[in-house]
Amino acid sequence: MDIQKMNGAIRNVERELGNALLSTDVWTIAEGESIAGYNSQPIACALFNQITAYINEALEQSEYPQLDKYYILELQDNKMVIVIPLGEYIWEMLIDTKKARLGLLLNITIPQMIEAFEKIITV
Amino acid sequence: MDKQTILIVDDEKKIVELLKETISKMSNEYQVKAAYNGKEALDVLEKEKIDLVLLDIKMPVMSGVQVLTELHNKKVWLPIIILTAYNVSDIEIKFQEFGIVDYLSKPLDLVMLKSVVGQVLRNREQKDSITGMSLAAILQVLEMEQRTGVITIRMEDKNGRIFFRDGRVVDIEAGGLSVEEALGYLLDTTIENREISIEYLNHRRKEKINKSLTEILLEASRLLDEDRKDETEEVKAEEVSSEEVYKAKKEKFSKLIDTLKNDLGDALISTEIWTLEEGIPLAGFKERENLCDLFTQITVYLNEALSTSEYPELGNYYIFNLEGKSIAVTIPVGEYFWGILIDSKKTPLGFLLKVILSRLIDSFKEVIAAS
Repeated sequence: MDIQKMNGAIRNVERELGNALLSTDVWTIAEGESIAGYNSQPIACALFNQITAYINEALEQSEYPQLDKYYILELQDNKMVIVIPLGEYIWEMLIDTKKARLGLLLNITIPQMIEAFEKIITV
Repeated sequence: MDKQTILIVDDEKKIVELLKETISKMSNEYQVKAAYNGKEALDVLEKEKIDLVLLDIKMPVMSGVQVLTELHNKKVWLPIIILTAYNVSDIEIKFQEFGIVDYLSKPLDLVMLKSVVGQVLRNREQKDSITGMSLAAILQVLEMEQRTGVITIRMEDKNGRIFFRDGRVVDIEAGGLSVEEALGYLLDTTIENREISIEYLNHRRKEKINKSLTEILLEASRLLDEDRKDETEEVKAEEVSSEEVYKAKKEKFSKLIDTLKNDLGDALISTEIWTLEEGIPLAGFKERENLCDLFTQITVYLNEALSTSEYPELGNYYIFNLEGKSIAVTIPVGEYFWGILIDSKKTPLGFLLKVILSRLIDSFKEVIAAS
């Protein structure tokens, strides 16, 4: 992965979301340690690495479709986690939903993040 | 055997000393305690096991009458001999319920006192602790032997007493219940951990029951049967009522699903509402096999993972973007779950979350709270 480009994509998200972005990290599934981020949270890398593995496994064992581009967990205290697993990498971000413009986040920011993430990884 | 303890309650120190000396000389097995007013007496009775009380009526701070009233209110029953310089007949009528076994007039006749105290304490020594016999059988034995005394029944939540004289049951008490209810309660053999003891005391309990033992036992059995029948009917009524609630809840959930179908139109692929306990849909539209189990398991895992982390716990919903351009939304509310599968090509995510989902969650919570 091109870390410089990944950091550039993270800066774009920071600009778009402003103070609604509480933290974000990108890590490899194998290592579970952040390789790029903003207000990096090592606990988040370990936690969402495990959660993503569990969801993938549960869906694989079911007759349901598999996880595609992302999943979202609405949390208590007006927080929201968006997780984008892609190949060997996972991009996670924690949002303050009181400050975020959800329409912009869901319809514009997330699709842009996915597009940028895919480009960085495949190049 | 433990020594028997006599509490002397009198404000006149000379009398207390005289009684102490007299009773101590009667037997080494008696120990004497003293209180100089009613309040002190109640303090001793609260802290120590007393076998007999010699109680003066007229005292400062708290009189003997107040002590009797207090013991009666607290449902404490123990043998009491009244010491009084007054006419005992008025007191006898008023307080014959209170465990009074005799009256001694002042100035005291010490020979009489020793006789009465000795008789009460010897009777208490004969106290029987009964195991392996039903209360009905004990009452029948006491009737045959024409005994006089008090049966005390100690249970986890209530204590009861049956007063008998010359073999006849004269009164029954158990935590404010009527005589019939009390006997029904005390005879109920389904109550476990009961301890029955008998004291052969010449109590003065007024005769409130004018029935033979056979009549009393039959009446108690009838009351017990009625109680059990009522309990069975109550259980049945509860079952019917919970079935109705369940049915009403299912109808309300179906209405929620109708609303969702209207909101999403053909973007709605499938949906179902289920409970953690049952794991099968209570209401749904194009329900999918095993979906309930799958999302119950995932929700349980997410709750556990988040609750053991420093992250906030799961909120109102979670969303999976799935292969084949679909979105799975799960709304867990307590024991209830609502799973929704949506065609993401036909519904923008922002619209789904901001407009539809917030309204659905409110309605879902309302139906659950109402049930």
